[in-house]
Amino acid sequence: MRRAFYRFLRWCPGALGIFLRQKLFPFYLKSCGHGVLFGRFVDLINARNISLGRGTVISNRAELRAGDHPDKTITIRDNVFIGIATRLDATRGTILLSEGTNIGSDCLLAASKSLVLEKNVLVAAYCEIADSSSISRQGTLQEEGKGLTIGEGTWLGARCRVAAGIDIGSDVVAGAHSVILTDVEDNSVIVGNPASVLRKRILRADANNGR
Amino acid sequence: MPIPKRDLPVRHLSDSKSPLRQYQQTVIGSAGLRELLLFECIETFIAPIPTSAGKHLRSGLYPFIIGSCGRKVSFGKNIALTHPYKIQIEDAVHIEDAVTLNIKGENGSIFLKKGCRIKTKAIISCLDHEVYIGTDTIIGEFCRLGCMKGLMIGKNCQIGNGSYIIGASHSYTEPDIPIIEQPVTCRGATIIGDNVHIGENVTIRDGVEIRSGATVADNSLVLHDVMANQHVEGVPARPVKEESDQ
Repeated sequence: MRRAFYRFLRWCPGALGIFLRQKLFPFYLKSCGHGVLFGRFVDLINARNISLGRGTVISNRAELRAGDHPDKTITIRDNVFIGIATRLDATRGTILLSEGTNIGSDCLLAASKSLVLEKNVLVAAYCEIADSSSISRQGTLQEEGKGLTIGEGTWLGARCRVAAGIDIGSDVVAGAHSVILTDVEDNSVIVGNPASVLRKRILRADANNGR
Repeated sequence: MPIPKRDLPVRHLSDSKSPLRQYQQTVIGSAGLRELLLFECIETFIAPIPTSAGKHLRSGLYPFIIGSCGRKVSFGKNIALTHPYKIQIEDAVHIEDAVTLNIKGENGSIFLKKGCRIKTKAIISCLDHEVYIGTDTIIGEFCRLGCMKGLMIGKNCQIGNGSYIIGASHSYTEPDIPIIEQPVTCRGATIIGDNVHIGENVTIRDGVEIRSGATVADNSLVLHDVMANQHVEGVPARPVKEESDQ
């Protein structure tokens, strides 16, 4: 009955749907701030292990999949935006999205151990931040190793891919189509497959690369 | 004869922050109660109906909320529309299920020319200026088309599944301010000529011009203009060979 009602809420169109989901989805979740906007066809799997902060926006067709176990959680802090059809998969690990994170559409974020995005991280469309065997280093898949962290203020460009266990520093800018297989220092600009440092972001505000 | 463009009386929304006003501003683009009720009735009762019955109902009723709509336009289920009065659709256009047509700014608009096809789960997101999709062009599944200074796609083009035409980018010159709070930038209008073939999972930077007859291989990243009939591939995309007479 509960599940059937959830499916109705998930489907419900128009302003009515937005209103009902805002008021009623929190009852399925571990915790939920006020003012959360859920689009249509949002899948919340193992919702009792998902926490959302206030002002979060989960766009249409997004999927938040927590694990069965109570420590396979998805925690999303305040004012996070999750784009259309983006998937968060915490079946094998935990995911934490800190305040102000903005994830584009059609992204995949999958945790093998722990996946942490710090404040104000900007992830463009079609990115894959995942424990994916297709992009991990050969034979070094870190099942028991460290988690994946993306530092504060970092921007991952369109269609970037990040392997498991990587530590990306703060204020990093990754160009589109970068494939990040090694740790990245703070304030770097990286491009390529595998991604390498192009330059460091200049620390003085008067520098301009001619945009 | 296409339905003439409706002159929508634009009643400007006040700066009121009530949730209803915000919804009207973001989703409908007009303050009118009639527009709100019409939109909600159609979105709630007509949009989700499956099978061909739904299709016929949508073909008949969506024109009441869309700016202008030609004949034999087919609308799939669960299309997400915002500011529908700014969308102009010509004859025989196919919009498949779960497509998102999202206009954000006051001045954004989307023009879908005759016979074009927007495949399932594609997203067209217009921040400002016009998105113009030419005659008989096909936009592939789960593509994303962004627009800030204009996006024009010519006729008979094919945009492969999963491709991304970037509308705008981000300034990151201030290292002390999070990038998300820095200005959005756009290098200019993105222009794609006629008979262009864009592969799957291609990313095209804002402001790029791809001239007629060009092709872009799958998984490429196009950062610079592409000449007519040129074939480019790679990250970043570079010419492979020139086809002078296709």
